[in-house]
Amino acid sequence: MPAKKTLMTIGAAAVLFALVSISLSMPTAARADAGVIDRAKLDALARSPYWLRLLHYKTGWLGHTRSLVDGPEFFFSKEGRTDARAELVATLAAFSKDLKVGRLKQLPQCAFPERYRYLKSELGPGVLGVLGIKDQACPQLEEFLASFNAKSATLVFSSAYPNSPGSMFGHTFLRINSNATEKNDLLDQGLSFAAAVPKSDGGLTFALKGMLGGYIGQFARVPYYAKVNEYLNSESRDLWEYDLNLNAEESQRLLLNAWELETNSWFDYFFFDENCAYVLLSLLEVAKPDWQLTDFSIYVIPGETVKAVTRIAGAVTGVKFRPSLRKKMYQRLDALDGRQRELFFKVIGGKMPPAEVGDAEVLESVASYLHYEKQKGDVDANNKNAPLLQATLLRRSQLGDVGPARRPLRPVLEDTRPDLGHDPYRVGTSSGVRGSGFFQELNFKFAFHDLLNKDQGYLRFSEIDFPGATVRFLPKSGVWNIEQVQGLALTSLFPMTFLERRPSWKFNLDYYSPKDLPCTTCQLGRVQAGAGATAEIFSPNYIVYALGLLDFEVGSAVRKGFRWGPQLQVATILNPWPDYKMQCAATLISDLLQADRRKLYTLFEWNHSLALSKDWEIRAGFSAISPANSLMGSPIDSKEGKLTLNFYF
Amino acid sequence: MKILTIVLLALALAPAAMAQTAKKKHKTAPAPQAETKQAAKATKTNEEGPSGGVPGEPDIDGCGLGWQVTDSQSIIGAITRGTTNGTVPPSFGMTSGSLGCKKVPFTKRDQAGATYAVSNYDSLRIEMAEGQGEVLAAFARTLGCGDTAAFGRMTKKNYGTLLEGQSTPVRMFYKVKQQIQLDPALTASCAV
Repeated sequence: MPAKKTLMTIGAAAVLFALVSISLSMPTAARADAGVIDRAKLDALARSPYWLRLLHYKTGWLGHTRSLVDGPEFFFSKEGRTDARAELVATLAAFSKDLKVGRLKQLPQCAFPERYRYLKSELGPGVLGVLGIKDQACPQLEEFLASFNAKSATLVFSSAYPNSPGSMFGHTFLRINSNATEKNDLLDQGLSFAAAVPKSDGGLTFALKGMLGGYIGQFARVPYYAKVNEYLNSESRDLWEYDLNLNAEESQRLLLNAWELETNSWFDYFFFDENCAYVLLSLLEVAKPDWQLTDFSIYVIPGETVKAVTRIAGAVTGVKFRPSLRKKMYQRLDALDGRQRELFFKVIGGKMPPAEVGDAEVLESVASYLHYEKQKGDVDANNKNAPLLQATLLRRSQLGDVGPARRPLRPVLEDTRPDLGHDPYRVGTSSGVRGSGFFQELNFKFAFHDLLNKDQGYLRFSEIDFPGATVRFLPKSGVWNIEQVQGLALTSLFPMTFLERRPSWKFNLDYYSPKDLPCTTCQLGRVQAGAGATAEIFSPNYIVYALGLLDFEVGSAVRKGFRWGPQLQVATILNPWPDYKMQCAATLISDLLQADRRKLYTLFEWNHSLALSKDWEIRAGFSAISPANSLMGSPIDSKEGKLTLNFYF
Repeated sequence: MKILTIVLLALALAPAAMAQTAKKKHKTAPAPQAETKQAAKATKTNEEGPSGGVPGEPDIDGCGLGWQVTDSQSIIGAITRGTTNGTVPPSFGMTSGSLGCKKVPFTKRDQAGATYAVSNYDSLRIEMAEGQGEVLAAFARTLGCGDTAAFGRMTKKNYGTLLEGQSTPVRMFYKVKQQIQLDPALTASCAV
């Protein structure tokens, strides 16, 4: 008996082996060739735009086409990343097998439900039946879909942190709107894509890895209220919600494709291109096969995602604004009159217990202020403020509604809406006069926003400029001169308020043609960094600021090969109308190595900019540089005026 | 300053990154799980003074939604910060108890309301005192209350009771539930 049993086992194993060998070596392709699916149909399906979108195939600069997805488990075929037909054949083969795939060890059709749905609808259930593929139950997937109960989708954009131009690129994610009756947006689910960064990775590692794709991008499902809390309250960023023209079926397709990506694979996360913005657009292309969104070159900025979507007619059905906690707090404070404001300061200064206050508006302002302060995460301050907040809220609850007697709140500034902002690339031309000679200039930059740009869609009074260059042609001498090669310029002018005193700061790295030297075609490399303060003059539209900078310059045009010294800049920016800005700046420049001669220079600049439309702009600039402590005329051509026409794209 | 460094480096390395030349190969699919700095910050800030546990209340052990309540019921808002600055989002695998969750201690009915209370405690307290607001309306909804205006009136009227002493989100949540049951009109409009 044991011998017989062993024999049977061996026999069964042999049969099983044979079956497995056959199924491995002669997959669907063979059967398809044998007539189940004709070759033309298979070819057409493999080339269909939707199939390519499901696999996230993209054509790169050099014309090579491959999938954006980096995890090999996303593909059943070894060539799946580059060969859509091989992947189609292998996918059909896998659907007929009892495999466990991906992170959740699911059946192939549960792991790739949108591929399954598409192939079934294209080939018909009959063909699938012949191929031995039948519908399977997918409980985890069902639970996932049920948690969204998708009806439509909203693209959400978060603006920059206050005082942080580096965050001007923003962040985008999706909100899946549920089909609930009397729905509350906060209870919907958010779907985001972000880099998975271990806590231990600090600044340098983070930057390097982020740049080179060292992180994995992952999808996450987070309740929308948590997102709102995170951006609006903890980080004081505005949120812009763009309701997309997606129906329930299209929203579901988006979720199914996200499921395929997340439970089987990953993307390498690149800060510049394969980032949250790009991947979300790629997902939207699955939901809406007639939308073409991922045609960006070089880099993708989240704000550009929004523009890409709004450019498609009818894609956005509504736009909603959620102002940050900071904006809402100032809105409340601004509405207080003098007496109320006095009361407000008494309460937050601990000079008057909230229980003695009978003014609900004051108490609400105090609560709003303490809420905002709490987000800063200062443990000691929060422990100190906790009883005050509690007493304030208790007192507030005892008073009646403010009702119609409430002072009208000034509308919150909706200046951060991204799709109304200018485009990031710039090309421009200038004509000007320096001394007695005419010149013509060309400028180009990759990104992003400077102090003279119209601020709509960006962080107000801040600058972040990426690589760019300006060349100048002097017709008199027929010389082309590099006027400036911009490395990076960052400026944050943060107006101080009676509640917040944060420094303003500036950093600049460039290669420029100095105007204080008696040469026309010499350049110096320059690094400047410094800090100072900004104040509003009577209105948020007018600011004055002072910055102390340390300047270091290198180049053969100066005697020792370098020079350095502190600088002091005092300037004002007036922005009386959104389209017009005027900047007036005086800078005192020192050169600590120039002991024998005049040590100080003054640079005076007067700039105007007028936005003609979203992407066209005219600028006029005047500047003069001269030795500060010399009464004699300057030996150099010190005055310059120019007119510039810029186009953003 | 960190942003500065990053942007500087971005600048220096942009061409390389754009060309995608130095792609790192990932040997393993699962992403490294890590807490975010903000989560750590939240640990410190979400507590207002010592918060002892309330007997009879369950702990929340959170996987899916990103919640953790330690033994002493201090609440760590571990909702991850999926900004461009990067963090670890909970993957889809980590869904409500299906994977990686040790326990789901709240009754299923209470889970939504309790996690909501934990996440929105600060905004919620303010709106409870004012008797209205979007955050409060959503809270009412998690408790199955259709009449959000009546719910708001109740929280305003009973604010002192609902949030007395060293309150915690979980304690507040249970007191709100209790209060609903004491109010016949609300009980009728809520599915507690």
